[in-house]
Formats: sequence, C-alpha cells, structure tokens
Amino acid sequence: MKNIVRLGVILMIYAGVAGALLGWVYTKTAPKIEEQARMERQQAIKEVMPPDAKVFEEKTLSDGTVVVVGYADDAKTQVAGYAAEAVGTGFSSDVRTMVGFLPDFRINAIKVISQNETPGLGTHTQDEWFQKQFSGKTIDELLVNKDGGKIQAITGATISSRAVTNSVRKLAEKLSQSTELPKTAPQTAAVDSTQTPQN
Amino acid sequence: MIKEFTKGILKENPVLVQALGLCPTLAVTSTAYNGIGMGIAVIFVLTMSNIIVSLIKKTVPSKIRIPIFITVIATFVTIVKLVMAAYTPALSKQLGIFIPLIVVNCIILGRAEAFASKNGVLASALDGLGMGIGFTLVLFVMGTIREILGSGTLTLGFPLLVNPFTINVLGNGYNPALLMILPPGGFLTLGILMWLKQLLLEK
Repeated sequence: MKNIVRLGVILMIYAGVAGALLGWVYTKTAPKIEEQARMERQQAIKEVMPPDAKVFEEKTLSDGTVVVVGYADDAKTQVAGYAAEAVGTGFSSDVRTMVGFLPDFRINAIKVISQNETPGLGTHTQDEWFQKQFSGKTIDELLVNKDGGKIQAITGATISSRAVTNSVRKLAEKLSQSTELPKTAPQTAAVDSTQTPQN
Repeated sequence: MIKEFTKGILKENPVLVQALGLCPTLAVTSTAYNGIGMGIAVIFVLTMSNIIVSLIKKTVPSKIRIPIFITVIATFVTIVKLVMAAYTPALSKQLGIFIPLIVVNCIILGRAEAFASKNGVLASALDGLGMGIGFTLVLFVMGTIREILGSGTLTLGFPLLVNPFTINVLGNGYNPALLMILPPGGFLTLGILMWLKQLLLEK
C-alpha cells in the first residue's frame, strides 16, 4: 500500500513537471499558431473568390455563419461573389472547407482548409483534381456520383468526399435562401467547367 | 564513444536492421520533404528523451519506468508539434497525425529502455542522435525514390524545411508510377533498401 502511494507521488511529480513545461511552450507558440491560421484563412478566401471581387466585407448572419461578400467595385454596389466556411463530419475528423460562390450561388472554387482524415485516402480531399470539380457546379449537382450528383468521390474515401460535398451543398442552400446577404441579379459570366476531370 | 554515434547510421540502423518504427517509415515517405521532416522531428525527440531518461534513470523506480519514459517522450513530441504548427505550418499539415504518433514510435521507447536507462548522458545523447540520423537517412532515401518514381518530382525545403519547393525531375512527359507513392511502393522500396544493406554488410 505504502509503495503504491510512493510510486503514485513520483509519477505525479514527473507528470507535473512535464505539464508545466508544456504550458510554457503553449503560451509561447499559441499566438503564432493563431496568426498562421488567420493568414491561411485570408489566403483561402482570396483563392476561392471570383477574380473580379476587389473589395471584401465580412457579414455575420443571424445564425452565426460568417460570410465574406466580395464586391467588384469600391462603392459596393456590384456583388462579385461570396466566401464562407463549410464544416462536414468526415471519417475521423471535421472537414473544414472554404467555399467561394458566384453571385448566382454556383460554386466558384473550394479549398479544404483542415481535415484529419485517413492519410492516403481521405486526405486526398485536399488534392487539386478533387477540389477543381466543384467549380461551376449548381446546388443540384452538388452530390457525390454515388448519390446521383456530379462530384466524383475519391476511391476508398467516399465518406470524406461526401463530408465535403454535402457540407458545401448545405452551405450553398443556406446562403442562396438567406435574405440577409446583399445580392445582385445573376450575371452572365460563366465559369469554365469543361476541364473537370472525369475519372 | 564515437561508436555509439555511428552504430545507428548503418550497423544497427533502426529501420533497416532493427526493423523498428516501420509504420511512420512506410506512411510518410511519399515525398522526400516529408521524410526529412519526420526524421528531424524524431532526431529531436529521440536525442532529448535519451538525455532526460539517462539523467533521471537513478530516480525512476523500475516498476513505473515505462509510464515515466512515455511522459518524457510525449512531452517532447508535443513541443515539436506546437513549434512545427507555429513555424512550419505547411509541414505540420503534411505530417498531420504522424507527429503525435512519434510517441508510440518504438524506436524512441526502445532506445530509452535498451540504452539510455543503462548508460551515461553523453553516450545516450550520441546514441539518440545517431539512431535519429540513421532513421532520417532511410526516410530521406525512401522519400526521394518514391517521389521521383511516383510523382516525377522532388520536394525539398531550403533552408532544410522552411521554404518547401518542388523540382520537376522527370519532366512533364513522365507518366508517374502511382504505385510507388501508394503503400505497396513503400514496402517495395523498404525491401530493396534492406536487401542493399545486407549486401553492404556482408562484405
């Protein structure tokens, strides 16, 4: 009995020292990590926004969704596109995707910004060919091919593919029906979707 | 003393001879860059944990040595993870789950148990450094072979890991042998390296 207590106390001391050290390292690195995440978000927004969006404005909808509205002119009269984050539950993690919309809520581009899916399978959601096929898709087309849509799921990673596709679709539905966003009449500018890989 | 350092590089190479830490070896070596990144993280964790384990070996009751060793290792792994996320976010993303998995990499606990808990600080540090470098070399060679054949490219960082860049080694006309960056390619490459090591050591 006495021995168990002694061993427990020794282990506790080691764990305590380790914990204190980690706490110190954490406070040193946390601001830097946050800054990286913020920069990455900015970068992702820029990448998915239609190219004619010049002025960005952040809007928070009543349900808490943060949407970045891109305007083509400084006076903010002509909406060029939107960007917002979609979160889907994948195989082993939440898959977060930055989604860029055209003014008519077709997809301009998407970028998977964080996921912890199975390496070699679900991680392919970050591959260019997978993300590229979203460009130009309308809401109705946003389903993986197994579910009758036009998004080719990744072999061996249907759950991860579905997580991305369905979260993007949900976001598209929400934004297109939202009355809180500034909107302009659908434009004629079309996105070239002919290069979508078919395999 | 110098032998403690050099033995890990070829003669007792953790991967090719001891066959330890095969999981990360096979999993992260789809590019040369990932191989170096994983290797450097392991060098750091292994050297530090060997030093600490050697320093505290007298105060550690043998009944609870494994939880204490694991605490030491896990602490250094977490430090590596936080520092990587703060300063090399691209690499941290690439290596993802493999960094936390260093905790259960049997090379590290293996060296703590088999060497550092029985030897002096300097010898343990050299042992950790040597084993770590041996591990890194194998990962780098595997990553290079697999990436060149499997993607036709070579990804390196300068300096070391900070600014990753990709060289198109085999040109755009090359049709990549996808198999090489998939798991079978890992096993094939590892098998060939083990065979080459055997040829070298038998001489």
